Amino acid sequence: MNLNSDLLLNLLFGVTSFSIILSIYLVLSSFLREKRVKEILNSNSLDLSSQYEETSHILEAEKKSNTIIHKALRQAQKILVKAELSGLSLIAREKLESKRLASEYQLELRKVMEEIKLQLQKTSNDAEKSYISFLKEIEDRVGRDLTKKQEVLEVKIDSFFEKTQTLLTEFVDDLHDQTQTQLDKEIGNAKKIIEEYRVQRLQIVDENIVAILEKTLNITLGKKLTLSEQTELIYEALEEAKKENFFV
Amino acid sequence: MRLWKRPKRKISSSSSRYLKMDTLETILSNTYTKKDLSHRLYLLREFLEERLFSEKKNANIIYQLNEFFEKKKEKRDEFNALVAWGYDFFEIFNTENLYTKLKEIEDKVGGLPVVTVYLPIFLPIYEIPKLGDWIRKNVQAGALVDLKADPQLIGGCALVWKGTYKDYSLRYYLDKSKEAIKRVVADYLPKSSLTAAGSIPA
Repeated sequence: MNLNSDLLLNLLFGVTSFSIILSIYLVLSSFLREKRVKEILNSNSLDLSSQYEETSHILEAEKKSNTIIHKALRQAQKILVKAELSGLSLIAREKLESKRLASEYQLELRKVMEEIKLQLQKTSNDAEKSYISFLKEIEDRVGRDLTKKQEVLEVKIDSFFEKTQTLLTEFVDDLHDQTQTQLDKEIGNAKKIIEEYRVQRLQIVDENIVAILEKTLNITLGKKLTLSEQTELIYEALEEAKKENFFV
Repeated sequence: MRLWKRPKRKISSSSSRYLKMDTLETILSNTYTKKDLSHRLYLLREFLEERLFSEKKNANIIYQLNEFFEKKKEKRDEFNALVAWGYDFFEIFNTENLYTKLKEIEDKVGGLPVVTVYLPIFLPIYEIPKLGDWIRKNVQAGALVDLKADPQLIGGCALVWKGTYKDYSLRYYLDKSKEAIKRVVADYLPKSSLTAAGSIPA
Protein backbone atom coordinates (compact mmCIF):
# COMPACT_ATOMS: atom_id res chain seq x y z
CA MET A 1 0.00 0.00 0.00
CA ASN A 2 2.78 2.37 0.82
CA LEU A 3 4.56 1.52 -2.40
CA ASN A 4 1.52 2.45 -4.43
CA SER A 5 1.10 5.72 -2.67
CA ASP A 6 4.76 6.59 -3.31
CA LEU A 7 4.40 5.85 -7.04
CA LEU A 8 1.31 7.97 -7.24
CA LEU A 9 2.94 10.84 -5.53
CA ASN A 10 6.00 10.63 -7.86
CA LEU A 11 3.76 10.63 -10.83
CA LEU A 12 1.87 13.70 -9.64
CA PHE A 13 5.14 15.46 -8.94
CA GLY A 14 6.43 14.65 -12.50
CA VAL A 15 3.33 15.93 -14.20
CA THR A 16 3.30 19.12 -12.15
CA SER A 17 6.99 19.71 -12.90
CA PHE A 18 6.45 19.20 -16.58
CA SER A 19 3.58 21.75 -16.63
CA ILE A 20 5.67 24.30 -14.81
CA ILE A 21 8.68 23.82 -17.12
CA LEU A 22 6.37 24.13 -20.15
CA SER A 23 4.84 27.35 -18.84
CA ILE A 24 8.31 28.76 -18.19
CA TYR A 25 9.29 27.81 -21.78
CA LEU A 26 6.24 29.58 -23.23
CA VAL A 27 6.87 32.71 -21.30
CA LEU A 28 10.57 32.64 -22.25
CA SER A 29 9.86 32.07 -25.97
CA SER A 30 7.34 34.89 -26.01
CA PHE A 31 9.89 37.19 -24.42
CA LEU A 32 12.57 36.18 -26.95
CA ARG A 33 10.19 36.77 -29.85
CA GLU A 34 9.32 40.20 -28.73
CA LYS A 35 12.93 41.02 -28.25
CA ARG A 36 13.74 39.80 -31.78
CA VAL A 37 11.03 41.94 -33.23
CA LYS A 38 12.34 44.99 -31.47
CA GLU A 39 15.87 44.32 -32.67
CA ILE A 40 14.70 43.99 -36.19
CA LEU A 41 12.72 47.16 -35.97
CA ASN A 42 15.52 49.00 -34.45
CA SER A 43 18.04 47.84 -37.05
CA ASN A 44 18.00 50.02 -40.21
CA SER A 45 18.08 47.15 -42.50
CA LEU A 46 17.85 47.99 -46.00
CA ASP A 47 16.57 44.81 -47.04
CA LEU A 48 12.91 45.14 -46.11
CA SER A 49 11.81 42.26 -48.25
CA SER A 50 14.13 39.88 -46.60
CA GLN A 51 13.08 41.16 -43.34
CA TYR A 52 9.48 40.58 -44.05
CA GLU A 53 10.08 37.11 -45.24
CA GLU A 54 12.04 36.27 -42.21
CA THR A 55 9.36 37.73 -39.99
CA SER A 56 6.69 35.69 -41.58
CA HIS A 57 8.72 32.57 -41.09
CA ILE A 58 9.14 33.39 -37.50
CA LEU A 59 5.48 34.02 -36.98
CA GLU A 60 4.65 30.79 -38.66
CA ALA A 61 7.11 28.95 -36.52
CA GLU A 62 5.64 30.61 -33.70
CA LYS A 63 2.23 29.48 -34.43
CA LYS A 64 3.40 25.98 -34.86
CA SER A 65 5.21 25.99 -31.66
CA ASN A 66 2.20 27.43 -29.92
CA THR A 67 0.12 24.73 -31.33
CA ILE A 68 2.57 22.13 -30.22
CA ILE A 69 2.70 23.66 -26.81
CA HIS A 70 -1.04 23.80 -26.64
CA LYS A 71 -1.22 20.20 -27.55
CA ALA A 72 1.39 19.36 -25.11
CA LEU A 73 -0.48 21.22 -22.49
CA ARG A 74 -3.66 19.46 -23.23
CA GLN A 75 -1.85 16.20 -23.29
CA ALA A 76 -0.32 17.06 -19.99
CA GLN A 77 -3.75 17.96 -18.64
CA LYS A 78 -5.02 14.66 -19.72
CA ILE A 79 -2.18 12.83 -18.27
CA LEU A 80 -2.65 14.74 -15.12
CA VAL A 81 -6.31 13.97 -14.87
CA LYS A 82 -5.62 10.38 -15.65
CA ALA A 83 -2.93 10.25 -13.06
CA GLU A 84 -5.23 11.85 -10.55
CA LEU A 85 -7.92 9.42 -11.31
CA SER A 86 -5.46 6.56 -11.12
CA GLY A 87 -4.25 7.96 -7.90
CA LEU A 88 -7.73 8.26 -6.47
CA SER A 89 -8.66 4.80 -7.53
CA LEU A 90 -5.43 3.57 -6.17
CA ILE A 91 -6.11 5.32 -2.91
CA ALA A 92 -9.59 3.86 -2.78
CA ARG A 93 -8.20 0.49 -3.46
CA GLU A 94 -5.57 1.06 -0.89
CA LYS A 95 -8.21 2.05 1.61
CA LEU A 96 -10.24 -1.00 0.95
CA GLU A 97 -7.17 -3.13 1.04
CA SER A 98 -6.07 -1.59 4.28
CA LYS A 99 -9.46 -2.18 5.88
CA ARG A 100 -9.35 -5.73 4.78
CA LEU A 101 -5.83 -6.03 6.02
CA ALA A 102 -6.76 -4.43 9.31
CA SER A 103 -9.62 -6.83 9.87
CA GLU A 104 -7.38 -9.70 8.88
CA TYR A 105 -4.71 -8.37 11.05
CA GLN A 106 -7.13 -8.01 13.94
CA LEU A 107 -8.30 -11.50 13.40
CA GLU A 108 -4.79 -12.77 13.23
CA LEU A 109 -3.95 -10.75 16.25
CA ARG A 110 -6.80 -12.25 18.20
CA LYS A 111 -5.69 -15.65 17.16
CA VAL A 112 -2.17 -14.87 18.20
CA MET A 113 -3.43 -13.46 21.45
CA GLU A 114 -5.50 -16.53 22.08
CA GLU A 115 -2.50 -18.65 21.33
CA ILE A 116 -0.33 -16.54 23.54
CA LYS A 117 -2.96 -16.72 26.26
CA LEU A 118 -3.15 -20.44 25.96
CA GLN A 119 0.58 -20.64 25.86
CA LEU A 120 0.85 -18.40 28.88
CA GLN A 121 -1.77 -20.42 30.72
CA LYS A 122 0.12 -23.55 29.90
CA THR A 123 3.42 -21.99 30.90
CA SER A 124 1.87 -20.67 34.07
CA ASN A 125 0.44 -24.05 34.91
CA ASP A 126 3.74 -25.66 34.18
CA ALA A 127 5.56 -23.08 36.27
CA GLU A 128 3.11 -23.51 39.12
CA LYS A 129 3.48 -27.23 38.97
CA SER A 130 7.21 -26.89 38.80
CA TYR A 131 7.19 -24.41 41.66
CA ILE A 132 4.98 -26.63 43.81
CA SER A 133 7.19 -29.55 43.00
CA PHE A 134 10.24 -27.44 43.81
CA LEU A 135 8.72 -26.33 47.08
CA LYS A 136 7.80 -29.83 47.99
CA GLU A 137 11.27 -30.97 47.20
CA ILE A 138 12.73 -28.17 49.26
CA GLU A 139 10.34 -28.96 52.08
CA ASP A 140 11.35 -32.59 51.98
CA ARG A 141 15.00 -31.63 51.84
CA VAL A 142 14.66 -29.13 54.67
CA GLY A 143 12.69 -31.67 56.69
CA ARG A 144 15.35 -34.26 56.16
CA ASP A 145 18.04 -31.74 56.94
CA LEU A 146 16.26 -30.61 60.07
CA THR A 147 15.77 -34.13 61.29
CA LYS A 148 19.41 -34.85 60.69
CA LYS A 149 20.50 -31.67 62.41
CA GLN A 150 18.13 -32.29 65.30
CA GLU A 151 19.65 -35.68 65.80
CA VAL A 152 23.15 -34.19 65.71
CA LEU A 153 22.02 -31.47 68.09
CA GLU A 154 20.55 -33.98 70.50
CA VAL A 155 23.77 -35.93 70.48
CA LYS A 156 25.75 -32.76 71.06
CA ILE A 157 23.41 -31.61 73.83
CA ASP A 158 23.69 -34.97 75.53
CA SER A 159 27.45 -34.77 75.29
CA PHE A 160 27.42 -31.20 76.55
CA PHE A 161 25.24 -32.10 79.50
CA GLU A 162 27.45 -35.01 80.38
CA LYS A 163 30.55 -32.82 80.23
CA THR A 164 28.85 -30.05 82.20
CA GLN A 165 27.71 -32.49 84.84
CA THR A 166 31.21 -33.89 85.15
CA LEU A 167 32.72 -30.44 85.36
CA LEU A 168 30.13 -29.30 87.85
CA THR A 169 30.72 -32.33 90.04
CA GLU A 170 34.46 -31.76 89.91
CA PHE A 171 33.98 -28.05 90.62
CA VAL A 172 31.68 -28.76 93.57
CA ASP A 173 34.14 -31.30 94.94
CA ASP A 174 37.02 -28.85 94.57
CA LEU A 175 34.97 -26.08 96.12
CA HIS A 176 34.01 -28.31 98.98
CA ASP A 177 37.63 -29.25 99.58
CA GLN A 178 38.75 -25.63 99.34
CA THR A 179 35.97 -24.44 101.61
CA GLN A 180 36.75 -27.14 104.12
CA THR A 181 40.44 -26.24 104.08
CA GLN A 182 39.69 -22.54 104.33
CA LEU A 183 37.17 -23.16 107.09
CA ASP A 184 39.64 -25.29 109.02
CA LYS A 185 42.24 -22.58 108.59
CA GLU A 186 39.85 -19.85 109.68
CA ILE A 187 38.70 -21.81 112.69
CA GLY A 188 42.33 -22.49 113.56
CA ASN A 189 43.18 -18.81 113.23
CA ALA A 190 40.11 -17.81 115.24
CA LYS A 191 41.03 -20.23 118.01
CA LYS A 192 44.59 -18.97 117.95
CA ILE A 193 43.37 -15.37 118.19
CA ILE A 194 41.01 -16.31 121.00
CA GLU A 195 43.82 -18.07 122.84
CA GLU A 196 46.12 -15.09 122.30
CA TYR A 197 43.37 -12.79 123.45
CA ARG A 198 42.77 -14.98 126.51
CA VAL A 199 46.46 -14.99 127.35
CA GLN A 200 46.66 -11.25 126.76
CA ARG A 201 43.64 -10.60 128.95
CA LEU A 202 45.03 -12.87 131.63
CA GLN A 203 48.31 -10.99 131.43
CA ILE A 204 46.44 -7.72 131.82
CA VAL A 205 44.49 -9.18 134.74
CA ASP A 206 47.73 -10.45 136.29
CA GLU A 207 49.39 -7.09 135.89
CA ASN A 208 46.45 -5.17 137.25
CA ILE A 209 45.05 -7.66 139.67
CA VAL A 210 46.16 -5.66 142.66
CA ALA A 211 44.62 -2.50 141.27
CA ILE A 212 41.42 -4.38 140.45
CA LEU A 213 41.19 -5.88 143.90
CA GLU A 214 42.11 -2.58 145.47
CA LYS A 215 39.33 -0.81 143.62
CA THR A 216 36.96 -3.63 144.42
CA LEU A 217 37.87 -3.45 148.08
CA ASN A 218 37.64 0.31 148.01
CA ILE A 219 34.11 0.04 146.66
CA THR A 220 33.11 -2.73 149.05
CA LEU A 221 35.15 -1.92 152.19
CA GLY A 222 36.07 1.77 151.84
CA LYS A 223 32.94 3.06 153.49
CA LYS A 224 32.24 0.04 155.66
CA LEU A 225 35.38 0.01 157.80
CA THR A 226 34.77 1.56 161.22
CA LEU A 227 37.07 4.16 162.71
CA SER A 228 38.49 1.67 165.21
CA GLU A 229 39.11 -0.82 162.37
CA GLN A 230 40.81 1.87 160.33
CA THR A 231 42.96 2.86 163.34
CA GLU A 232 43.81 -0.74 163.97
CA LEU A 233 44.88 -1.14 160.35
CA ILE A 234 47.08 1.97 160.66
CA TYR A 235 48.94 0.51 163.62
CA GLU A 236 49.25 -2.80 161.85
CA ALA A 237 50.79 -0.94 158.94
CA LEU A 238 53.21 0.85 161.26
CA GLU A 239 54.18 -2.43 162.88
CA GLU A 240 54.75 -3.92 159.43
CA ALA A 241 56.97 -0.96 158.52
CA LYS A 242 58.90 -1.40 161.71
CA LYS A 243 59.21 -5.12 161.00
CA GLU A 244 60.55 -4.34 157.54
CA ASN A 245 63.07 -1.93 159.11
CA PHE A 246 61.61 0.93 157.13
CA PHE A 247 62.50 3.42 159.88
CA VAL A 248 66.16 2.51 159.98
CA MET B 1 31.59 30.79 178.53
CA ARG B 2 33.62 28.10 180.16
CA LEU B 3 36.76 29.30 181.84
CA TRP B 4 39.64 27.05 182.47
CA LYS B 5 40.03 26.33 186.19
CA ARG B 6 43.49 25.74 187.33
CA PRO B 7 44.01 22.35 189.06
CA LYS B 8 46.54 23.43 191.62
CA ARG B 9 47.93 20.04 192.46
CA LYS B 10 48.31 18.83 188.92
CA ILE B 11 49.93 21.99 187.75
CA SER B 12 52.42 21.93 190.49
CA SER B 13 53.35 18.32 189.72
CA SER B 14 53.64 18.92 186.00
CA SER B 15 55.47 22.12 186.66
CA SER B 16 58.12 20.25 188.56
CA ARG B 17 58.36 17.80 185.67
CA TYR B 18 58.68 20.53 183.03
CA LEU B 19 61.34 22.27 185.05
CA LYS B 20 63.68 19.47 184.28
CA MET B 21 62.87 19.63 180.59
CA ASP B 22 64.17 21.79 177.79
CA THR B 23 61.77 24.42 176.42
CA LEU B 24 61.26 22.52 173.15
CA GLU B 25 60.88 19.26 175.02
CA THR B 26 58.09 20.87 177.01
CA ILE B 27 56.37 21.95 173.82
CA LEU B 28 56.81 18.55 172.25
CA SER B 29 55.50 16.75 175.33
CA ASN B 30 51.94 17.26 174.10
CA THR B 31 52.62 18.34 170.52
CA TYR B 32 53.05 15.52 168.05
CA THR B 33 52.28 16.89 164.63
CA LYS B 34 54.18 19.34 162.55
CA LYS B 35 51.07 21.37 161.94
CA ASP B 36 50.24 21.60 165.66
CA LEU B 37 53.79 22.57 166.50
CA SER B 38 53.84 25.32 163.93
CA HIS B 39 50.48 26.63 165.06
CA ARG B 40 51.31 26.49 168.74
CA LEU B 41 54.59 28.30 168.22
CA TYR B 42 52.68 31.01 166.45
CA LEU B 43 50.17 31.23 169.29
CA LEU B 44 52.98 31.26 171.84
CA ARG B 45 54.73 34.13 170.08
CA GLU B 46 51.52 36.12 169.80
CA PHE B 47 50.55 35.51 173.38
CA LEU B 48 53.99 36.35 174.82
CA GLU B 49 54.25 39.51 172.78
CA GLU B 50 50.84 40.60 174.00
CA ARG B 51 51.67 39.69 177.58
CA LEU B 52 55.23 41.02 177.76
CA PHE B 53 54.78 44.18 175.75
CA SER B 54 51.54 45.38 177.36
CA GLU B 55 50.57 46.77 180.71
CA LYS B 56 49.07 43.44 181.67
CA LYS B 57 52.37 41.62 182.14
CA ASN B 58 51.71 41.05 185.82
CA ALA B 59 48.22 39.63 185.30
CA ASN B 60 47.36 36.01 185.89
CA ILE B 61 48.77 33.93 183.06
CA ILE B 62 45.87 31.55 182.80
CA TYR B 63 43.36 34.35 182.83
CA GLN B 64 45.35 36.22 180.26
CA LEU B 65 45.75 33.13 178.06
CA ASN B 66 42.05 32.49 178.25
CA GLU B 67 41.36 36.04 177.20
CA PHE B 68 43.85 35.73 174.34
CA PHE B 69 42.29 32.52 173.04
CA GLU B 70 38.82 33.97 173.22
CA LYS B 71 40.00 36.96 171.25
CA LYS B 72 41.67 34.72 168.68
CA LYS B 73 38.69 32.37 168.65
CA GLU B 74 40.98 29.41 168.96
CA LYS B 75 39.93 25.88 169.97
CA ARG B 76 39.87 24.87 173.60
CA ASP B 77 42.20 21.99 172.82
CA GLU B 78 44.91 24.42 171.91
CA PHE B 79 44.28 26.41 175.07
CA ASN B 80 44.52 23.23 177.14
CA ALA B 81 47.72 22.24 175.35
CA LEU B 82 49.39 25.56 176.15
CA VAL B 83 48.17 25.57 179.74
CA ALA B 84 49.56 22.06 180.11
CA TRP B 85 53.04 23.50 179.58
CA GLY B 86 52.70 25.08 183.08
CA TYR B 87 53.27 28.47 184.68
CA ASP B 88 57.00 28.01 184.83
CA PHE B 89 57.23 27.53 181.09
CA PHE B 90 55.82 31.01 180.47
CA GLU B 91 58.00 32.51 183.23
CA ILE B 92 61.11 31.61 181.24
CA PHE B 93 60.35 34.32 178.69
CA ASN B 94 60.86 38.02 179.41
CA THR B 95 61.19 41.07 177.25
CA GLU B 96 64.94 40.61 176.91
CA ASN B 97 65.14 36.94 175.90
CA LEU B 98 61.82 36.49 174.11
CA TYR B 99 63.05 36.55 170.53
CA THR B 100 66.32 34.82 171.35
CA LYS B 101 64.46 31.95 172.98
CA LEU B 102 61.94 31.77 170.19
CA LYS B 103 64.76 31.72 167.67
CA GLU B 104 66.44 28.87 169.56
CA ILE B 105 63.19 26.89 169.57
CA GLU B 106 62.60 27.49 165.87
CA ASP B 107 66.13 26.41 165.05
CA LYS B 108 65.70 23.20 166.97
CA VAL B 109 62.33 22.55 165.37
CA GLY B 110 64.00 22.80 161.98
CA GLY B 111 66.24 19.88 162.92
CA LEU B 112 63.52 17.61 164.24
CA PRO B 113 62.92 14.35 162.39
CA VAL B 114 59.57 14.17 160.62
CA VAL B 115 57.61 11.06 159.74
CA THR B 116 55.01 11.80 157.07
CA VAL B 117 51.98 9.60 157.44
CA TYR B 118 49.36 9.40 154.67
CA LEU B 119 46.02 8.27 156.01
CA PRO B 120 42.79 7.28 154.27
CA ILE B 121 40.73 8.87 157.08
CA PHE B 122 40.84 11.98 159.21
CA LEU B 123 42.27 10.79 162.50
CA PRO B 124 40.35 12.01 165.59
CA ILE B 125 42.30 14.44 167.80
CA TYR B 126 42.38 11.98 170.66
CA GLU B 127 44.17 9.46 168.47
CA ILE B 128 47.00 11.82 167.55
CA PRO B 129 48.96 11.59 170.86
CA LYS B 130 48.78 7.80 170.63
CA LEU B 131 50.17 7.87 167.11
CA GLY B 132 52.82 10.43 168.11
CA ASP B 133 53.89 8.35 171.07
CA TRP B 134 54.18 5.27 168.89
CA ILE B 135 56.36 7.16 166.43
CA ARG B 136 58.59 8.60 169.14
CA LYS B 137 58.87 5.23 170.82
CA ASN B 138 59.48 3.13 167.69
CA VAL B 139 61.08 5.54 165.23
CA GLN B 140 62.93 8.33 166.99
CA ALA B 141 62.47 10.31 170.16
CA GLY B 142 61.20 13.82 169.55
CA ALA B 143 60.08 12.97 166.02
CA LEU B 144 57.20 14.91 164.58
CA VAL B 145 54.34 13.47 162.61
CA ASP B 146 53.24 15.15 159.42
CA LEU B 147 49.70 13.91 158.82
CA LYS B 148 48.34 13.95 155.29
CA ALA B 149 45.14 12.63 153.80
CA ASP B 150 45.05 10.21 150.87
CA PRO B 151 41.54 8.94 150.15
CA GLN B 152 42.92 6.48 147.58
CA LEU B 153 44.42 4.37 150.32
CA ILE B 154 42.41 1.49 151.72
CA GLY B 155 43.16 0.57 155.26
CA GLY B 156 46.58 1.11 156.81
CA CYS B 157 48.72 4.05 155.79
CA ALA B 158 51.61 5.19 153.62
CA LEU B 159 54.81 6.52 155.14
CA VAL B 160 57.64 8.80 154.17
CA TRP B 161 60.80 8.50 156.19
CA LYS B 162 64.07 10.10 155.27
CA GLY B 163 62.84 10.85 151.81
CA THR B 164 61.52 7.33 151.10
CA TYR B 165 57.87 6.71 150.43
CA LYS B 166 56.27 3.35 151.08
CA ASP B 167 52.68 2.31 150.89
CA TYR B 168 51.60 0.09 153.78
CA SER B 169 47.94 0.17 152.94
CA LEU B 170 45.94 -2.80 151.64
CA ARG B 171 47.76 -2.39 148.33
CA TYR B 172 50.96 -3.44 150.08
CA TYR B 173 49.38 -6.60 151.39
CA LEU B 174 47.77 -7.34 148.02
CA ASP B 175 51.15 -6.90 146.33
CA LYS B 176 52.71 -9.28 148.80
CA SER B 177 50.02 -11.84 148.05
CA LYS B 178 49.91 -11.16 144.30
CA GLU B 179 51.08 -14.58 143.19
CA ALA B 180 48.64 -16.34 145.47
CA ILE B 181 45.81 -14.15 144.19
CA LYS B 182 46.81 -14.84 140.59
CA ARG B 183 46.65 -18.53 141.26
CA VAL B 184 43.20 -18.15 142.76
CA VAL B 185 41.99 -16.16 139.73
CA ALA B 186 43.60 -18.64 137.31
CA ASP B 187 41.75 -21.51 139.02
CA TYR B 188 38.48 -19.85 138.11
CA LEU B 189 39.41 -19.31 134.44
CA PRO B 190 38.75 -22.04 131.85
CA LYS B 191 41.78 -23.84 130.49
CA SER B 192 42.75 -23.45 126.79
CA SER B 193 40.73 -25.67 124.49
CA LEU B 194 43.44 -25.80 121.82
CA THR B 195 45.76 -28.72 121.74
CA ALA B 196 47.92 -26.97 119.19
CA ALA B 197 47.59 -23.65 117.36
CA GLY B 198 45.43 -23.96 114.27
CA SER B 199 44.28 -27.53 114.86
CA ILE B 200 40.64 -28.35 115.33
CA PRO B 201 39.65 -30.46 118.29
CA ALA B 202 37.83 -33.66 117.29
